[in-house]
Amino acid sequence: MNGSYFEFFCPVKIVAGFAALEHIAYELGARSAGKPLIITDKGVRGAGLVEVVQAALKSAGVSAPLVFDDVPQDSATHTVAAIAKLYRSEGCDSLIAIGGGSVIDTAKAANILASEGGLDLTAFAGTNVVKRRLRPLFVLPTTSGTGSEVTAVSVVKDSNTGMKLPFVSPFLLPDVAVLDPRMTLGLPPFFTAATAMDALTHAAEAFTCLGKNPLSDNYAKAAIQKVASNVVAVLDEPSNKERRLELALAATMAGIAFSNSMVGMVHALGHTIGAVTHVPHGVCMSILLPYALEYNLDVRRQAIGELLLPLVGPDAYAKTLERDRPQAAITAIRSLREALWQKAKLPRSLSETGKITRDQLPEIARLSLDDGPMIMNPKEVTYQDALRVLERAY
Amino acid sequence: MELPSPTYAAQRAYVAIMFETIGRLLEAASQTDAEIAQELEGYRDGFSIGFSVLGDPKLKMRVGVRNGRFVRLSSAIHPELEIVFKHITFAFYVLSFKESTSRAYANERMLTHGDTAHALRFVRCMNRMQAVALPRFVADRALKGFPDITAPEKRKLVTDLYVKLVTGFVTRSKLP
Repeated sequence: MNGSYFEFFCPVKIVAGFAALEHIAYELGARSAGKPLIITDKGVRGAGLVEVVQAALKSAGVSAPLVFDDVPQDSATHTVAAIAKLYRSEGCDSLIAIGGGSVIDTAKAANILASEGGLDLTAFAGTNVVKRRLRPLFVLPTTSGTGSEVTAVSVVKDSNTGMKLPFVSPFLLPDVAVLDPRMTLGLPPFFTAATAMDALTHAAEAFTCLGKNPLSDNYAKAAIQKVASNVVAVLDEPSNKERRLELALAATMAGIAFSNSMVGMVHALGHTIGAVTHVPHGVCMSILLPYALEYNLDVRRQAIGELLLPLVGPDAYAKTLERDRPQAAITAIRSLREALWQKAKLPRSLSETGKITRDQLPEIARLSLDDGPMIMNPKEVTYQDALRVLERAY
Repeated sequence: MELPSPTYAAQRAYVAIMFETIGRLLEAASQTDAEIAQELEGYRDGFSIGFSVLGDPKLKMRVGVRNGRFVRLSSAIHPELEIVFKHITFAFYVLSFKESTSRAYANERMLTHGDTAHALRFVRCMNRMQAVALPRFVADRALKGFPDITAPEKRKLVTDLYVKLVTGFVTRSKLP
C-alpha cells in the first residue's frame, strides 16, 4: 500500500514585505481589536523594535502602550500567568508578540489563559486540549528561523516542576504573521547564520522525512532556495532589506512545511543536545544536518538528490549527473556551512561549539531515541546509529 | 457508493482478534526478549498503555507494566498512554501490516494521548515484537527497517516467544 494520504493546514494570514508593520492597525480592526498587549523581551525592546511597531500603530490611530517585556530565554508558566493577569487587568483585546521563539511560544501560551480564563496553564498541556478559538494573536518574528509564527505548538517550562510542557492545538496558530525586514535588520551575524540554518533544516527534513507531501514539498524547496541564495550575502551586507525579507520568508515557508510534515533525526538529536548542553538550536541543526542526510541516504536518495536544485540553482543542477545529485546536495550544504564558519564563526562540528565533550555523546544518543521527531525519520534509528552520527558530527 | 474491502464489520472482527493477539504477544515477548525487557526498564511499575478506536468504545487493548513485564489488563481501565486510531479502517491498515506504525503516524491515522517518550518506547517494543513474531517478508512491510537479527537468532527468539505464548494461553486466562 502506498502512503498517498496527507493533511495540510495553515490558516495564518501572512502579511509580508516592506511597510508590513503599517498594515497591523488595519488587521487588528478587521478582527474587532484595538487594545493590544505587546509581549517581548528586554533585548528586543532594547533594540528599539517595540517603538517602531508602536509608532506604526499610533500613526494609524491605535494606541498600544502596554508592553510586557520580561519574557526570559527559557520561558515558564509563571511568566505566562503574569502576562494573563496584565492582559485582564488592563482590559486588552488582542496580543502582539515581537521576538524570537521563546517570546512567540510565551505569547501563544498567554493567549490560552487570556482567552480561557484562570491562571493554571498546566490544565491545557497536551494535544488538542485547547478546543476553542482564542483572542487575536499577531506575531512579528525578530529572527528568521524558528517558523513559530506558523506552527500550532508552544513549549513552556512548568515553574513548579521544571518540566517542559507542550501545548498543541490548531487554535494556537497566530491569526497574523507580520514579516517586515525592519524586524531582523539588527540581528547579529552569528544568529542570522544560525537561525537561517534552522530554517534550512526545517525545510530539508520536511522534504526528506516520512511526512513529506506535495504541498509541504513546495514550501520546503522554496525555503531552501531562499536560504541558500541569501544567507551568505546578507552576512556581507547586513542592512540589505531585500535579502533580510527573503530570509524571513524562508523561515516562514519552512515553518509551514515542517508544521505539516514534521521533522526527523536532526531535530531529535538537536533537541537533546540543546537540553543537555544548551548549545543554541540553530547551531545544532547546522552541525547535524549533513550527517543525518548521509545516514538517511540509502532510503531517501531521490529526495536528497532533489535538494540540489534549490541549493545550487538550475545550471549546476543540470550539470550534475542524477546519480551524483544526492551526494552533491550534501556537499553543497557543507560548503554553505563552511562559508558561515568563515563569515560568522558558526560551528561546523560539535567539538567546535566548545560546549560538548565526547563522553556526553552516549547519553545524548540514548535520550534522543525518546524525542518525538525520531518516529518521522525515514530510516529506523537505533542507539548505535544515533551514537555513530553524533561521533561523526563531533 | 463503494465500501472498503473488506467491509467495516470484517475489519472490526480482524482488529478485535489482533488486539487480543498483540496483548498476548507483548506479554510473552516481554518475558523472552532481552531488548523488550530493557525497554520496559524505562517505564515505572504499574504504567498502563492501550490501543483504542475512535467511536467504538468496546474495541480496546490494554497492557500494563508489572515487575518488568507486560501484562494484559482489563479494557475498563483508562491507560496513561493511549494510542487512538481515528477509524477502524486505520487500525486495520496497521494491524494487517498494510501500513507501518510510523507511516500511520505520518498519515495522521492515530492520536496519542500521553507522554511522547513513553509512546516512542512503546513503538520500539511493538516493532521489536513484530520483528520477532512475524515472517521477515511481513515484518518488512510493518517496519521502517528490519533489525540486525541473524536467522539462527530469529529461530530461537520465535520459538521462545511462541512457547511462552502457548504457555500463557494454558496457564492464565483471567485479566487483572
